[in-house]
Amino acid sequence: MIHLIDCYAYTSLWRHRHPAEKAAFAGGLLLLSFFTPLTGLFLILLLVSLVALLGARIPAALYSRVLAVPMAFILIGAASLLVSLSYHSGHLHIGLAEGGLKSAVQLVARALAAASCLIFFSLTTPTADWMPLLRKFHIPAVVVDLMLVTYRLLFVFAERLSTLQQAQAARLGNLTVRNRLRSTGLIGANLFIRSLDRARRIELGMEARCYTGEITCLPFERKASIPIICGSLLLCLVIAWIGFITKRWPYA
Amino acid sequence: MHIMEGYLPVAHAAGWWVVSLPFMAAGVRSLKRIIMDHPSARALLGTSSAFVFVLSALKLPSVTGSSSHPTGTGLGAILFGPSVMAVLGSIVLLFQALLLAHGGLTTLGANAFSMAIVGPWVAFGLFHGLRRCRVSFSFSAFLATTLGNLATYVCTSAQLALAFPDAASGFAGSFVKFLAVFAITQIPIALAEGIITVILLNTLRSYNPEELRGLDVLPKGGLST
Amino acid sequence: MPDCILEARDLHYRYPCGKVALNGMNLRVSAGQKLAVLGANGSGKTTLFLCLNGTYKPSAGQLLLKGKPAGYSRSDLLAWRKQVGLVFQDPDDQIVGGTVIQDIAFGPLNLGHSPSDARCIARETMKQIGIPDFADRPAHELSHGERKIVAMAGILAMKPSLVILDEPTAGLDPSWTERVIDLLNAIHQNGTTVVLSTHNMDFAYEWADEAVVLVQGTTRCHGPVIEILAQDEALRDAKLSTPLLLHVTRQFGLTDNGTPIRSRRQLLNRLKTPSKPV
Repeated sequence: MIHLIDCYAYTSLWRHRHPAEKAAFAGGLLLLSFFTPLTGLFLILLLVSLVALLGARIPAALYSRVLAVPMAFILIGAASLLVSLSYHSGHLHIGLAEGGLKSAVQLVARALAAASCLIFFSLTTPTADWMPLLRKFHIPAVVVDLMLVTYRLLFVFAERLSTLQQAQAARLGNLTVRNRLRSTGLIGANLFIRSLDRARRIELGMEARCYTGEITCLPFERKASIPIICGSLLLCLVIAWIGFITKRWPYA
Repeated sequence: MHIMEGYLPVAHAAGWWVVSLPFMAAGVRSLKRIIMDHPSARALLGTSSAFVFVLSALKLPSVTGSSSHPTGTGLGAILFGPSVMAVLGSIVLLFQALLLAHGGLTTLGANAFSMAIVGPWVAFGLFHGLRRCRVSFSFSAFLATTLGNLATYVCTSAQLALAFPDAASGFAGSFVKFLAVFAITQIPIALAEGIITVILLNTLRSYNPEELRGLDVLPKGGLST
Repeated sequence: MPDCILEARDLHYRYPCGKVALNGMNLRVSAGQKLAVLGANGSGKTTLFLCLNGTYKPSAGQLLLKGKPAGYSRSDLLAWRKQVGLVFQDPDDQIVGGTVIQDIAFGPLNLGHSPSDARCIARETMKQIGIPDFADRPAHELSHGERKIVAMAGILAMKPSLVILDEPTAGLDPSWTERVIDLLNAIHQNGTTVVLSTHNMDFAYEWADEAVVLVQGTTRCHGPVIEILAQDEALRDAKLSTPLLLHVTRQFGLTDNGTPIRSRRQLLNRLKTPSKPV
């Protein structure tokens, strides 16, 4: 799963668009989703999905698979809104919540709209492209450096972990729950020791290239397109307006 | 247990960001101090957060049959210390949101509060408190990790309850609802993670390679207890 | 007599855990040379290289850079590593960037180049090495061979006058091995001094001008590769084998008009021509 989103992003059609453009589009709509009624939310979900599938040509199977990841949580949480608990005269009453359906639908719609924005961004913008942007948001250099090293290494560790798990499985370390827990603990320890060793060697590797203490990132080669960013913001305003005028519709 | 993107209303999402930021800022100050004193700690911290991330992407066997993921925060708190975990945990959460569609950016503040702040502090406090009471290493680690995880789950349920109070019984009723709904998955994960952490830490202790001593640069970190 | 750009005199190094890795090591690297450092696992090759780029400070002995004693202050180390590039055996220890071009630009950026200059230098280096299409690929997607080349590119982008490579062909398939060797020859032709360690005796025999054999942290012998690899006793002490070509040509008294045969092509040519009276 780690590789799913990241690998695709590097090959996506819109990879070479400036990350700020994609952030303006996805981020603008994401923020709007908190302030717009149901009609606006459906519009956001529809628009982002269409842009993702038809514009950026993200494969439908991939898009729906990733969108399905937060679904379990969203649905379970929304289902809790349908039910109401109360405690009267020593008894626990469980009943249907008043206005519960409306709240649940609103919640699911907002979560889906927001999730689609986030997923659109991560499927079209590889990590190596959005990380340098963080400095522009005044995230401290020490944190961005740490993120860079983390990102670089998590694939090394994931690969190592998968090898270790396969080796354990080959030695039948996965037969019972108890066995699996034990195997996981041992694998974790092994991975950790190696990660400490790797840390030391990475440090030496960086020093060998005259690392002075701050990782300077290469900025994105192209400049962000102002028309596209303005266009995205305009789109947000249009959807906000539609949401506003349809606010009094039933179930809006 | 990550709160997914867009789940919390804007006021709550922003509110939890405001609450978590001071802790993150303190963590960053702590990091800067560590790196200034020990430049070699930089790579160590990067590998630590990569390690926590990969651990959290593991699939644990679950009693209910479905698979669930550990948080790695209890382990992280014991090995790296809780102040640093505020930042490492947040970095892990950011990557989880963007690389795994797990959690979100607006909800990162809330998730960081329960997973990178409350969880680690509870685990850390319990671990050292129990050790001081001369409880065995294994049992301390197990209890600290398990209860740290449970603290995270309780905190997340409280965050959800605050955002969605029950129509009839307000916060209290909603809190009970969310606790009940997520208990089925969260309690077994907490127990499993506790067991795994004990096995992991004990294996590390028996190794005692030179590298483990590198952890002592992290304030309150390391396995020297 | 070519200039000596790096010299190690009686180097000793002991790890914090007490293990003695270098026990009186001597080495001279002359400008424009192709030097092969040979020795069994654990003979001290990697430790030596880490001393030669200033990572480890020897517990005793002297290191001279262009005749002057090496300094360990921050600015001294920076200047040192600008001149002496070290490519590690495991490329994952050196590749830190997200994409290939970001990683190759890491060195030039650290040396103070502006981001746009660093990008140009990185592109130029990739073009010279033959990997221009790697630029936007993420590092973790590369195969082992591709990562090794990228790690080398990362050091070459800093334009050092001496490049040290720790087992550059280890773990590579024949086609990648050939690519790496071609690259090493190309940078050597551009004037860069190349020092490498290897277990591949045939490769060392064919490629190097000079060889140094290490045994348990000391220098067993050092000199022209043809002479050194002919010393059977030294190779035995070092737990190394004689290169096949040397073995065969010695056995059958084959030479290429008096010069030793050091490549397959030379051997085949020699075998094709009718044998001349000795």
